[in-house]
Amino acid sequence: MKVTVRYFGKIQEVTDLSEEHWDIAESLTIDAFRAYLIEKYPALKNETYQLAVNQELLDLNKTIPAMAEIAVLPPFSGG
Amino acid sequence: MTDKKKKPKRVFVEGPISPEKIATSIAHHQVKTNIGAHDIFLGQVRADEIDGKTVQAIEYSAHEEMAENLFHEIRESAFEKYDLTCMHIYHSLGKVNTGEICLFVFTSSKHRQMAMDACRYLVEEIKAKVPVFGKELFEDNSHQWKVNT
Repeated sequence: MKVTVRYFGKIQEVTDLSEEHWDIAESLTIDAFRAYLIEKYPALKNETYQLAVNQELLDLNKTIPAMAEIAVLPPFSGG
Repeated sequence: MTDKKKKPKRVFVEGPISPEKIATSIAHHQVKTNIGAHDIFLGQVRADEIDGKTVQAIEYSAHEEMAENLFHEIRESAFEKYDLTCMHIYHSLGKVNTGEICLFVFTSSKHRQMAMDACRYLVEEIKAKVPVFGKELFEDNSHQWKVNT
């Protein structure tokens, strides 16, 4: 199933792009997705980030729905 | 009809928030004579010195849709928690030079306690929960990513 992965802030410098489309297995957990992400971008191991699925910060054991947007968010620094 | 029923406005503005905009915003509230107290928070870009280099500006980016939705949720929760007459939040995107304003939070109520408590609550919530990212730019074109403490 298709998902959109978006990268923000410092994470964009690691991935060198802001957005890409992935084809992932159904009922993949957020934690399992994270393992794929690190496999593709090993430098992420040294970064702090959260994964927002459809704009929500969920528990890592939750599964990712089809067509989801997964945002890789570095620490916030607004204000 | 109160401000509570108005549609949410966009919080993000491109570039710095001008002092004139803040003054105009205050002036617009003079007709609302049920207000007895305003509180205002202004975030200003600081020229931090890091490893011998000085910050010249912060370039803000965000997950804009998620951020606007969170600003809306934070607004709604503030209206529930505090007895406010009105509330305005503006946050910069893009480049803001040191000394310029990047966050403007404006709360109004009948009495000071509510306005002041709500203003502090909003600023803390915004800093903790909204996906905004600040890139600190130095004079030699290098940069580092800011992290809220």
